[in-house]
Formats: sequence, structure tokens, C-alpha cells
Amino acid sequence: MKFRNIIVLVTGCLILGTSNGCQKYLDVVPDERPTEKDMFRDPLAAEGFMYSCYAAIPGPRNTSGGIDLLTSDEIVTPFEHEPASQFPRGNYSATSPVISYWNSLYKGIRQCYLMINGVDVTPGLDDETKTRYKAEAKFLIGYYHSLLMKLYGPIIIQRDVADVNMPAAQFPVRSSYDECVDFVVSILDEAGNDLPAAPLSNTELGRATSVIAKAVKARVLLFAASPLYNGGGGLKASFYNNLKNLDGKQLISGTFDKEKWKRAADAAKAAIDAAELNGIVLYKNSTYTASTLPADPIEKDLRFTFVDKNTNETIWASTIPEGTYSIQYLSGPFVSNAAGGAAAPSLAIVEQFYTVNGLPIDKDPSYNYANRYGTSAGPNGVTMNLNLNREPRFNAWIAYHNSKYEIIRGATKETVVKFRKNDPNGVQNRSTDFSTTGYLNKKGVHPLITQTTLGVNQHYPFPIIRLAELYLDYAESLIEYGSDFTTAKTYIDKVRTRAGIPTVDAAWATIGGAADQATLRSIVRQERTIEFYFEGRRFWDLRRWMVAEPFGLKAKGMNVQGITDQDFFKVTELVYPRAFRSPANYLMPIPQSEINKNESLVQNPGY
Amino acid sequence: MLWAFEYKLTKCMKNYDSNSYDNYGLGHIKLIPAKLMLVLFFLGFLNINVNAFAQKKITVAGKNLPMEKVLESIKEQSGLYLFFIQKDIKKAQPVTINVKNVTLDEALKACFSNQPLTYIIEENTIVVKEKSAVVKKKSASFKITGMVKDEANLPLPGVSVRVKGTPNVASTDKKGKYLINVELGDSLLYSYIGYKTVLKEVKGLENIDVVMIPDDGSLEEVAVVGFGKQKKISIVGAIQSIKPEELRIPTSNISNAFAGKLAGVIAVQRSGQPGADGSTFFIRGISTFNGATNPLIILDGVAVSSADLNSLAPEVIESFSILKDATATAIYGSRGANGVMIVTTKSGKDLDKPRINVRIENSVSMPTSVPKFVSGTEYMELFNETVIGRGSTEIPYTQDKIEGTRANLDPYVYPNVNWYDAMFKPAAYNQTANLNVLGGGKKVDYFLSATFNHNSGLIKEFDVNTFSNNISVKRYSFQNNLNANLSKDTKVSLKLNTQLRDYRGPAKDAAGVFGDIMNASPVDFPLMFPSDAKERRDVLFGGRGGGNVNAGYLNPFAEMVRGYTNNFQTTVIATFDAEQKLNFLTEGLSLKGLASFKNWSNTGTVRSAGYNNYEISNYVKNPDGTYKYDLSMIGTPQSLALGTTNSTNGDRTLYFQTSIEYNKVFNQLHSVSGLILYNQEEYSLNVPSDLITSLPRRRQGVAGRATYSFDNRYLAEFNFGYNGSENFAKGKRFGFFPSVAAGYVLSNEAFFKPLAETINLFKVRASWGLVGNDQIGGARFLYLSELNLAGQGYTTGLDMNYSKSGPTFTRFTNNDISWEVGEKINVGMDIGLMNKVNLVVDVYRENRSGIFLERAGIPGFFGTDGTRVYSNIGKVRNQGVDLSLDYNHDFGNGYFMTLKGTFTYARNKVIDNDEPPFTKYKNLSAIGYPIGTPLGYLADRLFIDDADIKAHPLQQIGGVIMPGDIKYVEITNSVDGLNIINNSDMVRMGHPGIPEIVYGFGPSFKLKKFDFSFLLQGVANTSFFINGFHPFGPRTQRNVLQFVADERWTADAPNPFATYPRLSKLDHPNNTENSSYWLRDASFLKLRSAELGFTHKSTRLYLSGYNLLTFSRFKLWDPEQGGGNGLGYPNQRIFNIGLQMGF
Repeated sequence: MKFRNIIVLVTGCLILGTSNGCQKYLDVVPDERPTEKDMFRDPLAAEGFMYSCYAAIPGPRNTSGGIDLLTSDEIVTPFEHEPASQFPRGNYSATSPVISYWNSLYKGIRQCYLMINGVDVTPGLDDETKTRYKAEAKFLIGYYHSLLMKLYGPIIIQRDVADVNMPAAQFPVRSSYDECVDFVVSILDEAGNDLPAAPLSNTELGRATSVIAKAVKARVLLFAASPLYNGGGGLKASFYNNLKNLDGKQLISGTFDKEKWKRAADAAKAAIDAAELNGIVLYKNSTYTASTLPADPIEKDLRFTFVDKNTNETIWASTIPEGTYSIQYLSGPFVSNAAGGAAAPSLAIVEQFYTVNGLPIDKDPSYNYANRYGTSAGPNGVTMNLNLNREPRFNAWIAYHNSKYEIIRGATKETVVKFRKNDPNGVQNRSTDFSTTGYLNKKGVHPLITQTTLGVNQHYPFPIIRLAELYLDYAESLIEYGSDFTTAKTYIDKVRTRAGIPTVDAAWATIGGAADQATLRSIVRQERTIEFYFEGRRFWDLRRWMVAEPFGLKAKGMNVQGITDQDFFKVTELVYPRAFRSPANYLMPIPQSEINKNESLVQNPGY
Repeated sequence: MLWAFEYKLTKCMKNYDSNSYDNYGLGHIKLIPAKLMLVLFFLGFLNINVNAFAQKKITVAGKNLPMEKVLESIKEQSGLYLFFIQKDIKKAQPVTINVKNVTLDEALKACFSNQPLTYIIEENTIVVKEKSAVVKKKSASFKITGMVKDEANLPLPGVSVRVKGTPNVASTDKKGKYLINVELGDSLLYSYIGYKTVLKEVKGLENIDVVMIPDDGSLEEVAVVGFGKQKKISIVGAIQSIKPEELRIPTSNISNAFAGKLAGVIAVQRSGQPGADGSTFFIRGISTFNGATNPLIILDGVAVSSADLNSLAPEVIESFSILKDATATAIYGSRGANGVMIVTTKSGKDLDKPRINVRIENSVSMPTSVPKFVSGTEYMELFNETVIGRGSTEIPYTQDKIEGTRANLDPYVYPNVNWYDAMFKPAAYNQTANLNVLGGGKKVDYFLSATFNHNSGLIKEFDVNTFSNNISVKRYSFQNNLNANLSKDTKVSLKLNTQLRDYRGPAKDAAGVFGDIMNASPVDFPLMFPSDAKERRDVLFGGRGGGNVNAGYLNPFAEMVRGYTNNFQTTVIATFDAEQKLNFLTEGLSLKGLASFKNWSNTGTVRSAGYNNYEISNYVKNPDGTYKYDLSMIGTPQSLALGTTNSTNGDRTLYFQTSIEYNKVFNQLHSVSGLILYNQEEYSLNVPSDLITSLPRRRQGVAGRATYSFDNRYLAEFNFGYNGSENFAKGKRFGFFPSVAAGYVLSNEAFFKPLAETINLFKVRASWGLVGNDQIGGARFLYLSELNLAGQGYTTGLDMNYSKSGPTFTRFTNNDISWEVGEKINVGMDIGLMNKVNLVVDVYRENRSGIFLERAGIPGFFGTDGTRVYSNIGKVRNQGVDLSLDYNHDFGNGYFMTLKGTFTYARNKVIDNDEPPFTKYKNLSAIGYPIGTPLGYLADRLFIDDADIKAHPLQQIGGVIMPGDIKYVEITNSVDGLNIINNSDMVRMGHPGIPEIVYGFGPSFKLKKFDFSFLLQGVANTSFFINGFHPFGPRTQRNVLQFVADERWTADAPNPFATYPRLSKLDHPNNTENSSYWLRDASFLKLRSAELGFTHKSTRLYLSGYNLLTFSRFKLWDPEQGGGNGLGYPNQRIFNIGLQMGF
């Protein structure tokens, strides 16, 4: 080859290379990728966006990673490695909040504002739907703020999409708790105006309605009126008097304002009225015919209150299907790789349930309180006296040694559970799957669930708010307001009657009646504790009442290392450490990283 | 003979072209004379009898002919060569001549009559001279012959042998032999590019054999620079070259030889796993915390991966250079920010007989050090202690069990397993062989190399499977380089590199197999129970129920033998380049083009079966002391058939480059060169996973260089890269990266002459420039928003089955995103002392700015959690020193020694990283600290009692605090008033995991037929946390390291300064979080390698070792492996025996 030819060749390559590389060589990204324009490109996309706004709702039946269910003193699990178990131990701090919703809830709020700001451009979407979508987003903004307030008290109110380029000096600070309440109430009201009262179809179940907005508002105002935020709790509250922004603004009012209870009562009543108007009633006279158990109709009502998916009691439910390792796995009597048998109610909660007469066990004269830890023959074998002569809610929701657990096990529809060491449900050679207290939870477990392999085969929406809560909210508000005890008792009695126990007046008549505010307060609080056992309320209720110190006491149960009945029926303190740092632990810590990033954001006291 | 002669000329012409014209001082002589000059080089050697020529009859006739023409004619007829100087011949008068069949002498006489010129016939050349010039006469001369060899005892052709102080020069032939005429008092100077000049006194010897020793500091040496070569003396950038021979160590990765041998390279080997045991390395440390940190590796002009580099056999490498400062790397623009390694492979030579080299090595490798675990009885005692200490009434291990284990009653009822010893062999065996052939002719030359390499792992073979689980890596590597000279100005070459890698190993990755050991108790179960099952696969693996692996606990042995993996990788790199000299346009101009293609592909198959664990359900002791037991299966039965999963991946790169170069020397003094280059590259994944990864990665750019040097004293250089990357938005794609540099060679100044004996080289250099990094954050197109249109959703409906999803932003748009830019300053010095010591010192600083980072200061209440917001706002300063020193001494009589040492210090400092302002918690700030300086709690001691705990601020690190737990120092009480120790009380502590100091030094001796060398290599300014070994755990039965048992705190003898705090059954963050309690100094000094060789003729037998000794304050495992629990694949100590043969 002549060298000149080669020059031509090489030069040719050079030119080819350069021309090829002119402008387009580096343009490799095609335009056809998902972009912001696609978010509202058609009604389907807008619907998807609207659903994405709901994604930040914390799953109310999240056991291991949720802050509601396994965090108080109700249930003691041997799952010491799971995040939720850090809460009874007091092992949460600004450094390691363990479970923190700060980021995820604010993320949800941002998504809602993007929805409100953007949905109008959707081609082909009718105005009515746009309005409704925006109302749902507003509802969720209010709800997410209310959850943040439940966790952290006074919070930063987010009123629009935040600009990521905002200089640090302009970062917003916390608003006072009352300002937060006003904001949430107003946005919930605003949302309620444009929401339907009930789901328009079965597939919509779980989306916001005006009744839900009212119920959430009632809950927010109940919290706002409670001692933690309303100058209650004596010395402990003064601790929060010092929660101030850097400019000195006080964030939690130190003075009691009785009218807050009025506001709460009114909101609860409004929510009850709206709910009842829309066919929401307490679950009674169960029509769930597929299961004949529990045999006792009252117990059946109680057990099926919400595991019957057609329940009319639920105002708002989480319609995310139950995950594998949730309530039913944790609670079902042990089956290798299918049921953990480890949701063990503590003695503290066991003793909260009333006697068969509807009275606290230490107050019922017909109940041998002193000998409650003795044993006697039960219907299925020897058991502790404590487990006998108890109200239907106890029998419906709690399984004790030598009691029946209504659940499919092989060919049988119920099984007698035993918890001694080496018993099927007792401590064996298993690191975790056993009852730590000698009790097992039945609430939320569908009697027809078959746990032969891993997985859930009985599904039901899990209530976020059900009617009984509104009743007790209303009663509590009236009692605290001190105005209308009769109405208050009427609403408590609705819950008691469904639970198969006498009314307040009927029960208390034998022990001097229930007429004063203090007695009624303890009645409504205990009622709430029992009715909402293992539904994620107690962790918060004890805080808002500012009586959470018992969370720091070691849990007790049976001696599960006992092999004989004699050894087993000994009340034993469990090894699991517990701590409640009062008053710091009344509020959750804001993650330290947030405090670091926003130096004008003050931390909750004690963290 | 004549053919050979011609060949020599061409050969030397080549040298003459590739080196600078000026250095031979021949600038004023025309081409033909130049040829003659070269001819003179060979006169002595050829020793042709002039008389033979003198007999030839010559006929010339003509009137007023130019003298040149007449001489040409005589030359043609006589067969002699002709030498004249142009300016002399111009003085000649026209010649009128008429001779017929006369002798040479007569003809010449007739020609030179009446001329101002005269002639002599020296050997076989007619030399034309001015009449006045005195021609030196030889007297009492005799001939010396000899052979010149290189270090490897191979003949060295082309060595110049010169009689000192005269122009009398000879050159060695293809067999390394030379012949030269000398006088008695003469000395001979042997010189060859890249080798130390040797001076020998003649002393009447008739045969002088010489061994040439390579010299890195040679003035004549040519070093590879970006897109070309430069003479070392004219280099002003910070460039270090290393001889490929020095990279030959007994591991199968070249990168393991970097540490301590390459000044400016920080390298550490983190794993000894066959096939994954290369070192991680950085040029001058790290200057960014987010962009790519790895150097650009250029193999024969093409960017390759470190894996490609690792698999090169040292024999294949012709030159290895690292470019460290901006002058050296700016030309690579957007790719040069982290330094550049340039590797060229060997080319063939015009040789009589091809040169064949064979190397065979066999080695045995064993862990340098492995973590030690407690015995079974000690384990049980500790376990009981922690459980009972918690207040529980349960007793996990009964006294019977403990005593039975102690007495070794039965290996199944009372197992006591040392998992490490049970599963792994003490040593593994490896083989390497290389065969290479180098040869060629004047038109075509070639270099061929084939390397085979087999490494095996430490996994024991068990008779439980038909397949083997042990790691086996077989590597086949081929290199084929072909050059063709199409004409004297045109050359094309094709280089092919092919690598095949065949891996077999356990189904689980090898590091995981080692890691599992940490998670098995020594006493709960044996590896397996004896079985009389007919099928091998019905193994009764030991187990214990109640855990969370199929309702049992993990059996590391079962995990290891449950399956196996095969993995086959191929790499093909083909490079075609062409070079065309454009001397017909203007002297010194040339045009080059290069195109290359690389394809890497990987096919993997993992075959894995289930397994069943068994535990003893009950047992009885037989009267004879043996035990009879029943087994029960744990969990659900698993399928024992192998299931398979396959994977394929790969990538390909197309690269194209073309350049115009210019080199010229004016007036012997002004040396000028220029380069303009265009390149483009396209990299694609063969198996992309989504739209973005399916798009090719592209770059294009123009680069240029201009150098000027005056008299080899004053040097200046300008480089630039103008590069575009598809990674950025339009308008931000192109970046301009210039650099300037200057050098001054004081030792070439006249005034320096008196010192020349002591200081033979003294050169100072300085450079400034910008380099870029477009590989930011690993991801691509970061300017684009990233939106997942179905990123989050919700489910509604009574039946909980109506699900819809909406968008999630994982990234926001930012069209401003662009390069990360490094501004580099380098000042260096090259010093040569007494021709024995060479010292190169470079001091540098780099300010890297525009470091691309994910904004960290955006608070969570913005709602952007999970959405990355990026910006080019980080800043890092990196500075340091690198130094290399070598000393050579020739004791004569074949005794020779070299001492080499390098020192690299690179410290970076974060200037800006968008961290929160930290006006309050200044202790959390990373600014001012080296990248990767960890945060940890400052440990004081252990708590003594409850009163001690009460009196101390509340420690909110995690877990319930008890006596024996670590007590930390409260740091921030004065700024936040909180009597709480939480993560705002952390401080920056220790050094980065990547050492800041790497050094190495070692001698090599040559004692006639023996040679011996070793290298001591160390690192300093590095530390790590140890973690991941804390015993027990809530749902696991983690094993216990011996040091934990030996040096722990106990309630009986509470020592607040114990090495290990209170043992806890549960995970206990208070005691396990990063703190000064677990910080360890990771500095070490190793006897990295040593080699003893014996050479006979061209065969060398040698013993060598790698990682022979480690000196460190850290004793638990090899500190080079890094922190954690030491349970990766251990680094290996290697003993090697090898044989090299040359033919």
C-alpha cells in the first residue's frame, strides 16, 4: 500500500470521526423517558397520583416496625431484635429514634401539595373529581400533621411545597401546639366540605370521606384537650413549659383551658352524628355464619368486631393487606414456620379487664382479688383464678393456660393452649417463638385462619378509627368538661353493652355508684384501655393522660420456665428490661440529624 | 553479510528517527552522510579487508563532473562506502577524469588531484577530508571481543561500545557480541538506552563480557507520557516509570506489587480470595468523596479496567508509567483527575533468531493470620454466664453438657467444633506458566505471549457431593502484537489481548463462607451425622431447631457444600494503529490513528440445593461408653436437587483516536514538539437493565501538547484536554483543562560542570494545571430528574385489591451539573549523585472543587426524603509528597547491589461537603478532616457500678446500661446543656481506612550466579474499627473470639479497663457502636516479598515469597484486610518456586 493511500485513509478516519462526533455524538438520552409531564398526563395518572398521596400512612397493624402495637406494656414478645421492642426498653433517642415518621410523613405532605398544585392540568379529568382529589390531599395533609403532632407535639407546619434551595437561615421553626391544632382542624374542615360522606363503591373503601375527616378532627381535639397539651399533669407539664423556640415562643401551653374539652366533645359528637347518619353502628349480633365459634354470641361479636370485613363499625380502615409476619402470625398458637405464638399479653393488661360484673377486679366485691393468683379447675383444666370469672372481652381476646383458642388447627376449629415449658406453646428449644407470659392474644386473629404454611389466608381491613373510639372520645370529653355525665355514661354504656357487661350505673351501684368526675375519669380510661387493647391506642393514651410511668415497670407473667402447673402458675417478673424516662419520653425525639440541619429547630426536652 | 549490514543500517536509522535527531549532533549532515556515519559504527566489528575492495577495477570518465558524482561512481564500482561532509564537498573543483580498469587507489588519486580535499580509506569506507585536517593514526591497536548481556542474562543487541575519549564506536550484534579495536591504555564505555553506562579498563584483556544493569535515571531514557513518549531529561511533569520486571511477584495480580514500589501510589490488598485478591490502589490518594477515585489505566492507548491490568503477565509489559500531576494528565482532560497509569506491551524486534522466554512457577499459599475462637466448653460457660446474669432462671447449657464436652465423650452428642479448621485447609496450591516469543524481521516483527495461571482456594473437599466446592480460578491470557513496516515512513500494528477466566467456587460467595463461621456455635451441632444412606446427597447435616433459618440455626458447613458456582469471563482487546510520517510535507511531522475494541463478557451459573438439618432428639449412653441417639429433622424438608440460576453480563468499548505530531530541533538548541489529537469513546453494557443503562456512555475530546526545550536546560510544556461527556446537560458538556509546566536542568549548565562528578543530575520542575472528573457519583445523566411513575401507591377496597401507584421523585433536575475539577500544582526535583544515587522528590497540592454530591443539608420536613438533590459544591484539598530513591553499586567481578526505596504521603482534607452548619455541634463536622475520617464515641472506661452509671450523663446509644458497659465522654454538654450522651457527642477519630502513608524499601544483590532481593513495605496513618464479632445475639448463636473470652470484663473481677466490656446475650449498641474503644491502629510493616535466585547460562531458578512477615500492633488478624471481624477470605502468605528460561 502506498503511504499516500494510507494518509488518505487515516485522514478519512479523522474526518469521519470528527463529523460523526459533531453535535449529536453526545446526545444519547432519548426524549421518551418518564418526566414531570407524565404525572398528570391523563385521568388514570391523576388517580395514581392521588393514591400515592396515601402511601405515607403508617400501617396500623405493623407489629415489628410500627410504633403503635408492640411498644406499650400490653404485649411482651420475645422478639427482642425487632425495632418495636426497643420502646418498652426505653431505647429510643434523638440519635436513634428507632422508628421515626418525621421524614416519611413530611414526604407524604409534599406529595399531597404536589397533587393540589398539579391536578388541575390533567386533560380529560372532570372538575368534580379534581375537587375531590384535592380534598383528599387536604385531608391527608391534616392527617399527616396530626400524626406528627401525636409523635412530636408541636411541629413545623408545612403549608406548601418547600423549595429545596431555601437558605438555611430561612428554614421554618416549630409552631405552637395550639397553632398546629388550628391548622389541622381548618384543613380537615376544608377537606370535609368537598369529600363524600361514604365511599362511592366498595373499591373505594379506605379513601377519605367527610365522616373520616370529622373523626380525625375529633381525635386531634381530644389530644389537644388532654393533660399533656392542656396544662395538666402538675409538675410534669411544667417540664414542657420550657419547650420554647429560640425566640422564646412557648410551644405547649402551661395553663389548663377547660374549653378545649368542650371543643373536643363537640367535634366527637359531630363525628358520631355524621357516622351514624351514614350507617355506622357498633358491631353486634354477628351475622358471620361461616364460623360457629366463639360459641358465646357476645364473644363472637367481640372477636369479629373488625375481623369480619363487612363490619359496620369501622369508620376508617387500613386496606393494605396484612403482611406475613403481622398480628395473625404473631398471635396464632405455635406452628413451625406458620405461626409464632408469641404475642403474649402482660399480666398488667390481663388485670385491666373487668370481672364478669363489669367492675375492675380489685373493686368487684364478688371477686376474690386476694386469691387471684391461686389456681382452680377451669373448663379445660387447671388454671389461675385470675383467668376465671372475667368479662367476655377477656375471654374473646385473651387465651390463657388451659383455655380454648378458636382457630383452625388441623381438623379442629379450636385448640386448648398450654404454655408450660415444653408444652406446644411454651418455651422449647426455640429462640423466639413462645409466649413470654403464659398468655396469648386472640384479638385480630380470624377464627378461620389456617396456619399450616407461612402466609395469611384470612384478610380484613384493619381499623384506624372505629365508632367505639368516637363514643369513648365523646364520653371522656364530656367527663373532663364536667358538664353532662349522664350523656357520657350513655356512650360508655353503648360500648359496655356490646361487650356483654352491665352499664356503668348498674355495675357501680353495688360499690357506691359513679357520679363524680374522678371516678368517671378512671372508668372511661379503663374502658378505653380494655376496648382498645392491642389496637395501638395505649402507647399514646397513657402519654396524653400523663400517666405513662408504669411503662417503665418490668412486665410480669406466669413462670414460663415452669414444667409443672405448680411451677408455672407463679407470677414472675420477666427478664426483659423496661424503662420510661419521665417526663422526656412523653414526646418522641425529633431525629438528631434534623436538629443538626435546621439549627433553629428546637428538640423536645430531655433528648 | 551485506544483507545483515544493510539491516543494521535500517535498524539504526530507526533508532535515529525515534530519538531526537539533535542528540547525535548530526543536524548539519545530510541523509547519506548520516548513513555513513552509522556505517562507521560498525567498522570495527565487521573487519572487512579493504584489500579485497582495492583489487576491483574501476572505470570513470568525464569532463567537469561534480566531485560528488565521481565519488558516487567509484563507490558503486568498488563496493565501498563513502563518507563526506557537505560543506567540505562544496569546496571541491569540477573534476575532469579519464581512467579505465585502474585500481581504486589510482582512481581516487586521479580524482583528488588539484583538489583542496584529500581522502583516506578507513576500513571499507572512503573518507573525504580537507587537506589541512589531520587524520588520526592508529597505533599499537589490538582487537577486543566480548558479549553484553542484560540482567536476565540474555544477550543485549545494539549496545554502543565506545573507546573512551575517541569517536571509535562499535555496537553489539544480535547475539550481544561486539568487536572493537583499542589501544592498551584505553577504557571502554558500554551504553544502552535505559541501562546504566558501564566503564571497563582494557588492561590488555582480549575478551570483556559485560552485564548491563537497567537504570531508571538515565538521561537517555525515554518515558511514556500521555499519548506519546518523551525523553526523560525533557520531562517536566511528575511521571514515574517502573521496570516490568519489578512487578513480578508471586501473586497473580500485578497490582499487588504496586505498594512500596511506585512512589505516589497508595495500594492495599484487602482480600486473599483467588480471583479477587488484587489490591485497591489510588494515585496520590483520594481527592474526592463522591466521584470516581480510581486512576485511568491506559493499555496500549486504550482505557482498561484494573482487572484487565491485573491479569497482565509482567513479561508482556514493555513499559509502565504513572502520571501524577496536571502536566502529565491534563491531556486526558475529563479522565485524568485521579492520575493515569500507562502500560504498553512489548513489540517484536528484528532478530536473527526469535527470543523465547519461559517462566514456570509453583506456589503454596496459606493465610497470613486467622481469627481464633474459643473452645466449646468456654463458649458454653460464657453463654450461661450472660443468660444467668440477666436474671433468667433458664440454664441454656447444663453442667452435664459442659462436662461431657470437656471429656470429649462423643462427637455427636457432645460436639465441639472448630468450624474454621473443620471447613478449611491450611494451604492451597497455585501454578503459573508463561511462554513468550519475541522476534521478527525488518518488514514485520512480532511478540507473542501466553500465560496460564491456576489458583485454588482453601475450602476442604468433603465426600458429600459429586462436585467440588473449592475455589479454582484458571486464567488464560494471550497477547499478540504485530508490527508491519509498510514503507520506511509507514507502520501499522495490531495488538490483541485475550483473557479467559474460568472460576469455580461454592454457591455462596467465598467471603460469605468464611463469614458464616462467626454465626455458628461450636457446641450445638456437628458438621454432619454419620449416615448409612445409599445416596451421597442424603447428608444428615447437624443443626439445632428454634432459629430462623428453616426453623433452625445456620450450619456453615451445609451452606458451604450446598452447591457450586461456575463463572466464565472473556475479555478481548484489539488495537489497530497506524503511523505515517509526513516528512515530505515538512520534516518531523507525522500522522497517527488508532482504533480499538474491547469486549468483556461474563457468564455465571450458580447451582444450589437445599439441605436438611438434624438434631438429636434423645440419646442413651451404652454400657461400653458409646452413645446411641435418635435424630429428628428440623424445619420443613428441603429439596435436595440442585436448582440453577444463570447470569450474564458484559460490556464493550469502542475507541477511536487520531493525531498529528510534530518534532523538530532547530540549530541544535531549540527542541520543539507539538501534538493535536482527537478521540472518542463509546462504552455500552451488553446486558443493560433499564433504559438509562442501555444508553451508551460516550466521550469525545481534543487534546494537545506543545513542548519547548532550550539546550536541554530550559524546558517548557503546555498541555490541554478539551473534553465532552454525555453525562451533562447541553452547554455543560465540554470542559477545557489546560496545564503549563517548566523545568530547569541545572546540571546541564556550564557553571555546574565542576560539580558534575558529584551531582550528575540536578533538575527542578514545576507544573500547574486543571484536570476533570466526569464519573461523578457513579450514576448517569444526573442533571435529569429521575421519576418513577409508579414509585409509591396505596391499596383500597373491601377486598383490599384495588391498587394504584403514583410518581416518586428519586432525583430532581439540575441542569447546572458538570465536571468535578482538580487544580493541581506540583514541584519536583530529580537529583543524581555520583552516578549511583537517584533521588526524585515531588511535592504536590490539589484543590478539587465542584465535587458532585448529594445535598445533605436539606432537612426532612421539606418532604424530599428519598429524593436526591445533587450539586457540584464539594471541595477537597489533597496534598503530599512522593519520593523515590535508588542506589546502585557495582563491586566488580559480578557483584552488584541495588537499594530502592519509595515513600508516598497523601493527605486530603474536606473543605466543603454541604454538611449542616454545625455551629453548635462542631465536633460532628467533617470539614478539615481527611475524607472518611469516621465519627465515633470517645470511650473513657467501663462502668464500675450502678452509682457510677447514675452519676454519669445518660448514655442514649442503645441498650440498657449496666456495670461493665462502656462509659463515654460527654462532649457537648457545654453547647446544648443536655446531660445526655447521644450521637451529637461523637467526634472524628482515627485515620482514614485508606492509608495516608505507604512506603517500601529493599535491596537486591547480585553475586555472580546468585541474586537475592527483598522488599519491606509498610503503611501508616490508617485505622479501622473492629466490629461484627460481638458474641451471641438475640436470634443467633454467634461464636466467641478468643480475645473476647480472655480479656473481657467480668462481674467477679470487674476491671474498668478490660479489653472487652460486659458480655451480653443481646445485641447491645452501647458497647458495639463505633467508638475509640474499638478503634485500632492499622499500620503495619510487612516483609512483602523476598526472592533468591540462581542463574546458570540463560536459566534462572528462584525461590520467592510474598507477605512473609507482618509487624503490627494489631494482632487479631492481618491488618491489611481492614476492620470488621477479620472473617473475609484471608490474605495469603505465598511461597513460590520458579524457573525462567531463555532460548
